[in-house]
Amino acid sequence: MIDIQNLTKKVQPNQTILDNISFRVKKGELVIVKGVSGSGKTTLLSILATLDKPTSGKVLINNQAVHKLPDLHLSLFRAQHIGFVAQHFNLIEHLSVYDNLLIAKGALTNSIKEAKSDITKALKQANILHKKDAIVKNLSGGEKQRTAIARALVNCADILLFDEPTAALDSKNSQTFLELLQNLHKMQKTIIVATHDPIFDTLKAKTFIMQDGKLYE
Amino acid sequence: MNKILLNQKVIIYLSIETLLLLLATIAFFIAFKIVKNWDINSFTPNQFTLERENYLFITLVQMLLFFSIFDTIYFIYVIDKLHLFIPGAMCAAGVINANSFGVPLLLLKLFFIFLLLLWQNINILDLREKTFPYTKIKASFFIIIFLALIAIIYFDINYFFHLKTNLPVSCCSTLYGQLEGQNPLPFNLDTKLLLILFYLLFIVVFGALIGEVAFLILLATPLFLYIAYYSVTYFFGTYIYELPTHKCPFCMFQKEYYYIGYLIWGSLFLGTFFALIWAIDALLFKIWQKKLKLIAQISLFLFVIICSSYVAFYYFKNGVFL
Ligand SMILES: Nc1ncnc2c1ncn2[C@@H]1O[C@H](COP(=O)(O)OP(=O)(O)O)[C@@H](O)[C@H]1O
Ligand SMILES: [Mg+2]
Repeated sequence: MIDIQNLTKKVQPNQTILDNISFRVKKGELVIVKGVSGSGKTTLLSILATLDKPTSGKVLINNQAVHKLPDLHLSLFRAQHIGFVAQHFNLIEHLSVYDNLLIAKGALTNSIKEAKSDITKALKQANILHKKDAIVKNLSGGEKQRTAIARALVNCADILLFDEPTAALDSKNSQTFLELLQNLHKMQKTIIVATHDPIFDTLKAKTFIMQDGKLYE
Repeated sequence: MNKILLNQKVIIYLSIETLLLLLATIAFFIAFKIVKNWDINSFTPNQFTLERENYLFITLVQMLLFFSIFDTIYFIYVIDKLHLFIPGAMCAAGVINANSFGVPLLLLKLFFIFLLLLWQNINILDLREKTFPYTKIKASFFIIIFLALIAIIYFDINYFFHLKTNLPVSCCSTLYGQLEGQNPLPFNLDTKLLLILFYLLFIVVFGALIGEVAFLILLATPLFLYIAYYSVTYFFGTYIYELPTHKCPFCMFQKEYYYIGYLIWGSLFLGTFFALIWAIDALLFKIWQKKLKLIAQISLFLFVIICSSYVAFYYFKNGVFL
């Protein structure tokens, strides 16, 4: 479960990006955060992904105030619990799909055999197994995204965060993504999607509106 | 202008000390804020800022430890080289005893490293937990460390400013030689008793490490360090120099003796420091750190083996003791 209380993020004393945000996401819930470009969605997701720290306020993930953990514990927590699919995917372009996942897996496993089977499973779930030996830079936008999703799944994270997942996709690929998203939802993953794409309006999900750093139900 | 202060090595040394003071001053301000305001259960902007600055603080103190070790080794190297400028000095012994600031300075510098190692040890224990349990202790402790550094800087300045190139000083043979009728050894020991005590204390410390008897380590290790100093200076040293009258803790830092002093004194301090820190952890935090213990054991064993082997090799070569 994710519990956010009075979360504020400022980059300068007078520039507030997130303004006193509070909300809760239950385990297995699918949540859409809608908002125009510049409203603060990416900043919010980065803080939930523990890649950025708040200026003030509480962020409890599975009852743990994550940003209060020492760096080493935080890295471990992030690797075990959080799968983040960034807008531009942040894959290592000159490596193969498989190796990108292996790097993400490497930190948490000692056994090559176990790593192999987890990677295959994640590639299957994200529907990209057939491209496992392809070099990332030769993939299409949709394939890159599915690689990033597979990477987010490889450590069996219970929380998945998507930043503008359909921004780089045509409408056919966007539909495919929506199907994949619903499959992940069925797997009881807790999912938060930040987007300004109206295609998500068709989805049955809890929706928040983000505007100038404030969050509305 | 004092010629010593224009010496390139002295300028480098004093510059490093200034840099250390700069790092420590920044760390001191953060430490002060942590002591005053740290509250891990608070979610205010101040606390989040302090948590970020805490990492800067840790990095600064770690740099301080790293540079201090090299700086102390360099200090010994510098005073050894300075004997060329000080009339009467044959090695670092004459230079460090040229005024009354030298010896306290060297002892303070060694103690400073011990304090920083102890700090780093607490830091490791702190970050191993999820709740920063020792962060306030660490910060308070650093304030003491900072005061020790101020004392070092005070002695640094006084020592080098009062080092004269026109005043003859005593060399090591006068400083450590037997003055008529006077025994330089503590507790009125003779050499035989000194050596018995040396090996006995080594066995006690080593045994206490194996048996993990923390309070015994805490008692016996400083005593071993004390006796080891006299044993090396007044006994083992003579075998390093192969001259029964040559008693000096410093000449062994010279090239003639293959710089063995760095290894001998280095292993002694490393071993005793780590043994003490192991015991402090066990008593204070109820944490028994295998790695620390192992390093202490290896270092102390190495120290005793090196010292003893100089005597043994001399005996094998010449068939007699000195
Ligand atoms: N590190 C930063 N420094 C300064 N301004 C930033 C920083 N990060 C984000 N911003 C600003 O904060 C606002 C929100 O950004 P972002 O979270 O990326 O919004 P969104 O993802 O909704 O487009 C934007 O105006 C952006 O320029
Ligand atoms: Mg964005």
